[in-house]
Amino acid sequence: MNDKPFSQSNSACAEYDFLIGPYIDDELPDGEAARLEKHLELCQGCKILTLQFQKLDRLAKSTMGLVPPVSAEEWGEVWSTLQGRRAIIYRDGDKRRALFYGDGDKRRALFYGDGDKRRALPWGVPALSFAALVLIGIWLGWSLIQKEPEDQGPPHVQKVEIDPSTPENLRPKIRQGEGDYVIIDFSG
Amino acid sequence: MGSDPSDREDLEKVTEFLSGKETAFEFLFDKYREKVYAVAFRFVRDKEDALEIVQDVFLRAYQGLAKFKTDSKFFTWLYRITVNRAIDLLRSRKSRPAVELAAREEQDNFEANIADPRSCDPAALFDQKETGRLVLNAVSQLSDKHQAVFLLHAVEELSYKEIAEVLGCSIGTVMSRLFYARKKLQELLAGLSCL
Repeated sequence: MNDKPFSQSNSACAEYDFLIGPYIDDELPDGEAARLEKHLELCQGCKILTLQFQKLDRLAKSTMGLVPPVSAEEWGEVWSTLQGRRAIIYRDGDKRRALFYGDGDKRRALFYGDGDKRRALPWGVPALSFAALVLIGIWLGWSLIQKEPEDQGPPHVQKVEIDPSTPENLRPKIRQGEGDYVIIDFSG
Repeated sequence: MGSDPSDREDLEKVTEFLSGKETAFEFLFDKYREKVYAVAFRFVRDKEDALEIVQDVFLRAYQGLAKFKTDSKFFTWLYRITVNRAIDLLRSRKSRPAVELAAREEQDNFEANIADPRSCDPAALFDQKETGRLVLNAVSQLSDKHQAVFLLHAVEELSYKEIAEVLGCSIGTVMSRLFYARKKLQELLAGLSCL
């Protein structure tokens, strides 16, 4: 006879452990219940576990079953607060509908045609997709037209003539820039 | 489901509400406020929080009643909203230990008051209070999912099928969670003489 407590139950009991809960809860099919009952007659450990599970449920029920009472005034407060919060939601809901769909709910009409033909006539989605494609095409075309032509040669080429009589220290200085260009400094 | 007279009455009121009769909602509130409050309290163990949950639950019910499927029980649907809201609150509490502590102190006071007044034995009263405190502490150590299944079964006395509907899982999952919840509680309460 196995008389080990649950925490030390051996592997032979593992098959039955899981059935004990449904057994005490009357949730086990008759055949399974009979099989477990036979085992309980032989196994002290599982029998103890069964009793402990039952006591545990009773203890939880007696400890946690009670709740502090709520007075009529407190329920009145809960109800009036609830009514206030409901009113806010109701008003907001109406505003939202009005803002998005104008008077009446035109959402269905916009997407699905007339009345309740939502499933029968779903032309709104392909129509919107087509419109989106057209808009993308227009945007791409506009971007190509607006694009600047590529550089054709060095920019800002300017011929500078210097009077030979200009003293050396007053002539513009030429120095190398960072790229393939030069900087002429006229500041003297 | 739905064959019980009470369930039929609920469905009638839901239909009335959806057709614009606001008083039908008031009827459902009056009928179920105590039950929703009790479920919420058993999870959060704080009266103010439980009443806050009652408000939230009925507000969500008001907003979402159009989505309620009439082939299920109205109260099962309310239970689901209540349990989800209570679990949300428990999770937020875990990130605010000070609030958790305050709720526990309030609960301790409540437990002291509910100890059986007929018992004149101070030692017995102390034991009763201490046992209650240990049980609550052990249950609070369970994971949210295990706690929900255990409370719905052991305290609310829902069947496995009803629990599965409330929590949106299979009956097998309910059995498994309940088994591990009981096993864990048994380990945590191993020292109790009454167990």
